[in-house]
Amino acid sequence: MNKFIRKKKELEESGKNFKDFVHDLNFLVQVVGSKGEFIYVNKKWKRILGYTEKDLRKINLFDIIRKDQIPHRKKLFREIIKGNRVNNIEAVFISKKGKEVIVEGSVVSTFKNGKFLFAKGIFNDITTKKEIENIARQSKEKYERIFNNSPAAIVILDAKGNVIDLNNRLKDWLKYKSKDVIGKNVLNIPFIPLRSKIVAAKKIAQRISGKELDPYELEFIAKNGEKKIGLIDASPVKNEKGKMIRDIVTIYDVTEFNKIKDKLKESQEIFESIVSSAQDAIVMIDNNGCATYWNKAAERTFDYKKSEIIGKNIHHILAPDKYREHYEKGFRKFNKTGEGNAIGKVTELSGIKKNGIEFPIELSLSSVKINGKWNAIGIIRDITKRKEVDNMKKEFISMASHQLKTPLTAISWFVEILNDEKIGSLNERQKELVKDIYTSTKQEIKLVNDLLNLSRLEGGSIRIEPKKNQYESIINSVIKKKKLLAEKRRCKLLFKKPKKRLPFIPLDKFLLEEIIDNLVANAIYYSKPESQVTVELKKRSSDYLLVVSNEGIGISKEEHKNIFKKFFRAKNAKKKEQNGSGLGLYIVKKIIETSGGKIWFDSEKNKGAKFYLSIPLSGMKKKKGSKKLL
Amino acid sequence: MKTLPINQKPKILLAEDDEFLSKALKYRLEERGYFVIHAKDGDEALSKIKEEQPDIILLDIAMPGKNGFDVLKEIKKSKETKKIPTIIISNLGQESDIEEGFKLGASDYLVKSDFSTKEIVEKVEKYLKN
Repeated sequence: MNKFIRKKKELEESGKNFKDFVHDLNFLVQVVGSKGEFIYVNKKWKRILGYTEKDLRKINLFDIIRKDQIPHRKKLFREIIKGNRVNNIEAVFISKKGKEVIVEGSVVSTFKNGKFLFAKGIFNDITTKKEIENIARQSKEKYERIFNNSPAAIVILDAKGNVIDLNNRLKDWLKYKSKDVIGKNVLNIPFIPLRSKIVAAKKIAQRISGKELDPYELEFIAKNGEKKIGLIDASPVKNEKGKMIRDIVTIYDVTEFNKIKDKLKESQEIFESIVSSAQDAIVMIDNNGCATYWNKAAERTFDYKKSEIIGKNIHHILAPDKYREHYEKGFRKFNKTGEGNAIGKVTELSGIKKNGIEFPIELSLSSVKINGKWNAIGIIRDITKRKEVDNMKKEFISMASHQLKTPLTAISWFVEILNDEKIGSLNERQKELVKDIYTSTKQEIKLVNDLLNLSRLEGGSIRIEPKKNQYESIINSVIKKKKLLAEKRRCKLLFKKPKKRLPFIPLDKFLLEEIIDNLVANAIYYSKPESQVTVELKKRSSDYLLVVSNEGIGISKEEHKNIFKKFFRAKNAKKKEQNGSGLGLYIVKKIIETSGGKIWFDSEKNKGAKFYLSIPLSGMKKKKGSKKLL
Repeated sequence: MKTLPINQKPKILLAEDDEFLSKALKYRLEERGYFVIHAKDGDEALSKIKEEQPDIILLDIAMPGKNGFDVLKEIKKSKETKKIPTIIISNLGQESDIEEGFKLGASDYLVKSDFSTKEIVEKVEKYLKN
């Protein structure tokens, strides 16, 4: 008996010891009855899930299981009650505070006499482990997303240079599949051609020797045969001992970029060759006025080498002092706006050569914005020769006209003396011939004058000096002068004056008389006998319009476009009047357009002509020049 | 105008290198009763002006040797000759020439091709009266 009691006591002792052991176990231990009611939970269980003994009396197992797991858990519990051991259960409990606690463990049931007594569960809290797993999974996914969606192609190599992985971008780009590449050594990859292998091998050797490499370009051949250029940037992954275990090779597709770069280089070369072979100096200055470009012709023109001028203030070196103030004012404006008096224009100035000699130049300037700042590009031409030629031309024309006019003057003077009949009388026939000589000599003189005027007009040296004048009175004086010619040609010359007397406006009386004289003379010459030539002056809303019309031979449509051309004479005009230089209307148009007016006409063959002359209400425009017309 | 004895006739110096122009003008001027002294270049003109002290001078510009402007300068420099009215007759009709002529003291500037001999004679008469 004592033995039995002792045994029982021992058993109780050991049971108690075991209970204590379980109680302190670092696992969650729970014992539940057939309805899921809690019979026992250990210390750790209580600590993790937070329920007290009191709480446990009110709840059962299914109250602490996450709702979505309940149906599954109930099914499992039924299995357990039947006596099936369930290992590797993973369940999510909800703590008293509402926190999810993920547990992992096994449940075993105890039966007595074939009757279910309770189920013992022993679990490990794997919440933290799960979280870590989750983070690891997410970061792996993230890494894969980045790896595959990277705009750059990426190859991962092991320490021996064998390909471990490659991303989608690389596959898309070079049209190879993973299986074509993975496992192969980098020097055996199908998309690396031989010449690239040589380059790559060298670079790899340099890296192995510990040298840091700048990204370098390598040529690849895609599976479809296309040539691609990649910019290689490799970064090693090292272990704690500093040994390289992985090599992450990033390849940027620079094929298109290189094409553009090549194009750019090409156009830069074209530009360079144009600029360097240009006869004119081409110069660029930055927003400080310092030279940034200086071509060969600039070297020739100014005698300064590129190295002597780049970065220096060009104006201080090349321009005479007289321009200084003007330039500095202009440059300040240019700096702000990119605009200036000389921008977009051709200006005649003078420059200074290295030897200090001042010489005439022609400068055309344009502006260009670079990095938000205004730069100027100047094309400079040495016009010393041109000026010389201009002067020679002027002298020649003046001399030639002088030489031509002298004998003509002599002829006209002798004819005048003959015509006086003081040295002997002339018969009618002789008189007529003498008159003809006189007329043609005068015409010849006019032609010489016209040629001289032409050169003055075309050379731009003509001067227009408008002074306050009355348009009507200018017309009147022309009409008066042309009366005789009209009578001779049996023409009626009529002046239709404007209704109101016109105000005084700036008009160059001499030039305007020339113009109107020309138009009226033409109208008379080419009119039919007994017809009328009308000169009409109207003030309109924006101009003064002079209309000179006749009832004459007219101008055929096909000759319209030539009427204002130099030396042109219409067929019917030549037939009617043999004399005429074909310069009159050309000169008229030049003068009127230079002074801001316009000229045009309306005509049909045999239906007369109407010439229109428009002068703005503000009058004729002033023009500086050294010459007047003859 | 009735014919005057030579010593009472107005004396004109005509400086003109062109043979035909001078012939025509000389004829016209003599016809009007002037005594015409002809010089065919600048140097001849100057020496004859000094020598003859003409009443009026008709002066061409483009002449061999001293040109008309040089001659005019000398005329205006000398006390004896500076008051003699001098009319430039030239076919150089550029503005600058005309301006130069007046600046140097010419009484008038006639572009020959624009004038008849009659008109030139009228100008001479006008300046002689003054």
